[in-house]
Amino acid sequence: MEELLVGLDICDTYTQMCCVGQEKIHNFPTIVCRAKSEDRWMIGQEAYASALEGSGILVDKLLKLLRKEGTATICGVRYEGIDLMQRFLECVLARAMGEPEEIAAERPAVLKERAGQPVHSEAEPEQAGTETQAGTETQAGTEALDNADEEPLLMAAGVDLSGEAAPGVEPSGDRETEAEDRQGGETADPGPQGENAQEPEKAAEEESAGQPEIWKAAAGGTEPQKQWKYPAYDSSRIGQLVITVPKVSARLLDSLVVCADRLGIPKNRVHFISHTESFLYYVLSQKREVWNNQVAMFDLSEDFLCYYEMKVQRGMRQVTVVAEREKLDEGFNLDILSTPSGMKLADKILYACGERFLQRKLFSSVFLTGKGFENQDWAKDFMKLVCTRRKVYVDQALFVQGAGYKAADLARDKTSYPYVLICDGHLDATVSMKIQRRDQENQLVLAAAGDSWYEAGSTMEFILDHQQYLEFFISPTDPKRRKMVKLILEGFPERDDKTLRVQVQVGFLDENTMTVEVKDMGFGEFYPSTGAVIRQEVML
Amino acid sequence: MSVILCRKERATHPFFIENLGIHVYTSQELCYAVYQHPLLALDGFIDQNLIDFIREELDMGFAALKLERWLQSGENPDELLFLLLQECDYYNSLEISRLRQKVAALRKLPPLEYAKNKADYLFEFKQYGRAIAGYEKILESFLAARADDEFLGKVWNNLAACYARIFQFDRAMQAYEVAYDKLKSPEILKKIYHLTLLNPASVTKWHHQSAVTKEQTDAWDRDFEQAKEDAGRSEELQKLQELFKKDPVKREAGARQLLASWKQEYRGMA
Repeated sequence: MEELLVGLDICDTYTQMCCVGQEKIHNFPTIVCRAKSEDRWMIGQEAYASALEGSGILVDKLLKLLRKEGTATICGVRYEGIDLMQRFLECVLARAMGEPEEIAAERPAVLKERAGQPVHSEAEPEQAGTETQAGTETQAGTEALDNADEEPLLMAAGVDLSGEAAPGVEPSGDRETEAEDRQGGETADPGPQGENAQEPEKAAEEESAGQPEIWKAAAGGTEPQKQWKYPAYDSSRIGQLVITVPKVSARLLDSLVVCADRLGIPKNRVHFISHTESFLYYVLSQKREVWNNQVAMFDLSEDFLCYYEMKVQRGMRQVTVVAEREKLDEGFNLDILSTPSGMKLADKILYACGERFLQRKLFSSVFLTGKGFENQDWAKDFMKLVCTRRKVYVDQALFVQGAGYKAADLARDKTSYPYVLICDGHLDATVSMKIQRRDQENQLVLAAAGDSWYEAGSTMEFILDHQQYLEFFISPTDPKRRKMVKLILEGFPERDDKTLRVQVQVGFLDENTMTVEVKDMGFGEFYPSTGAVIRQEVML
Repeated sequence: MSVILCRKERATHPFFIENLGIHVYTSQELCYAVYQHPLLALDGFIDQNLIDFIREELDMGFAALKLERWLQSGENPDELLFLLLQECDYYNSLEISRLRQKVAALRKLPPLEYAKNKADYLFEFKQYGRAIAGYEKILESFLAARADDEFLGKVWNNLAACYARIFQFDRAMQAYEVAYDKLKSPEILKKIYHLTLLNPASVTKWHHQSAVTKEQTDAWDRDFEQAKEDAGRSEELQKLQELFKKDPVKREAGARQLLASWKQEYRGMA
């Protein structure tokens, strides 16, 4: 069976998935639901339906739960963020394995009203971002980010998915505090309010008074309804999996690595990139005229507003592409777009941001992404500004497509992106050592600028000849910041010439911090190891 | 001052260098053994077994092929050592040329002197069996007839020391007797006397007993007692005492392990 090249964009509110060679882009809310009666896990519309029926318990904000190492207690079982993310990913990846089969099942009456539309139907294929010329009205090329596939059920149930307080599913309350922190050591038993894991049945009972009839039906209906069964998850079918997250951190990536490992995906087949890198891959996959000069992007999501900027530096030997992401303080809640005055204010805010970033620079193109740009009617002044002298594209699935492009590239023998990429998640400095080889001094690169810092680590063994120290040469892209770091091997044995053999393990905590561990390896039966070890963090 | 990057080549089946009694796991260890002990690495050290180790365990097929071709060509086998060092890139050119000079100097030694140096080196590495073979070969050589008494006396003395180290006291006594005949050294008489203390039965075979004075035996007795005391405080003995303080299960396991290592050591020596 053909191996899948999968791009996955996981955010706190939504998750998108694409498979290379398939047009369909899958959209899911980042939630997972466990059936009360059995150890069965659901995502997407099925998860909401189960929660609404009261037969399942739903957990949201899985990425935050993972990042904060939180836990959620469901049916008396305490699940860590990793456990829940693993189940979520398993369900998500199963959707990539093939077309669903239709099966008959008991479902709420409300679902019957949507006969002819599969309960688990995925979103229609995303369209490429719609190009907009100056003065032309822009049209979003995608469905709503949240969950196009859930729309039939949830709309019928009268639940606004995009809202934070879907009755019976996610009671109101500050859910950011719901994930318990492991350090706190408390158990997060579902309470009536403010927990990640909820029992919608109870909540539905409490809140059903005053709800429309249709909502009550969703909570208690038992009439049969068609269901869709997806092929089982099969790890061997994952050729390459590239997961993109808004911002990479060692803890988050470690957790995702564990999830992938538990799902049986070999380490060399799973990769993690930031949204900034996804943006780079996406842009670099477009025609060259799109990125001849600088490229800007505004990401307006429910919770934040981010500005991305990319520029290409053409050098003598290589082309370096630098991208930066800035989370703007001007971010606003999209709810304000529901009133004319709010729309005006939002437009004003964006216009100010646009003026600040886009003036006095030459941009080939500007990209707009995020739920806030599903339509741009509210942002007339801003659109007028960005559409002047440059092309503007709107794409709601930009990051996932960027991840997909990278997955496709990883499957190739030779990369189609022969550039040094400097962005969030990548090193902007080369770390090297001087070594002796065939009577000549050579530079051995331990990690190169543009490498993913998470994947960059290396382990090597060296013989030290008449020296009890190691020297690391750090060469950032800015030559003025070049430096040499000397690591003196205190406590290491002084041996005969060329018999001090050390293992050097280099890793990175983030793009600015390198960790070095040096270990005495001994020299065979001539000199056993003393076990001497030195660990040090080096700021790049 | 420099840093050398090591290839990833730790062998699963190490190569045993018999002359040194050690296993080597990497090309660096192999080169180190050759460079530090050239005398032991000459004369057939690089053979098909070692070439197979280089090819299969160190994954250095090209180097193995070069060595194999040189070996088959029948040219100067000493060059094999330098070829090996060059291929492994552990020693630089300057160091290799130093070794070349060292080997040339060794090759210039008279044959008996060269053979004695080699046997002495084996003695130093506790390879007593091989050292005995080396000394006996010298004594059996037709060239030995033309050698002076001083040289032959030293050979007999070293041969006796080898026998003593592997507890063959009678043979040791005979060899020391011949050594004394050649060198007339009181040091040899002292060694013979100490042998009689270790193995009283051999007193009857001591022909030069009359050459020893009472003062000498008293002094040698004191030396012997001192040596016994020093041995009683040795690290090895302390480890043994520690072992016997442990509970019966650990004691038995430790004793078994120790005995096995002694056996292995003795077999290596003999």
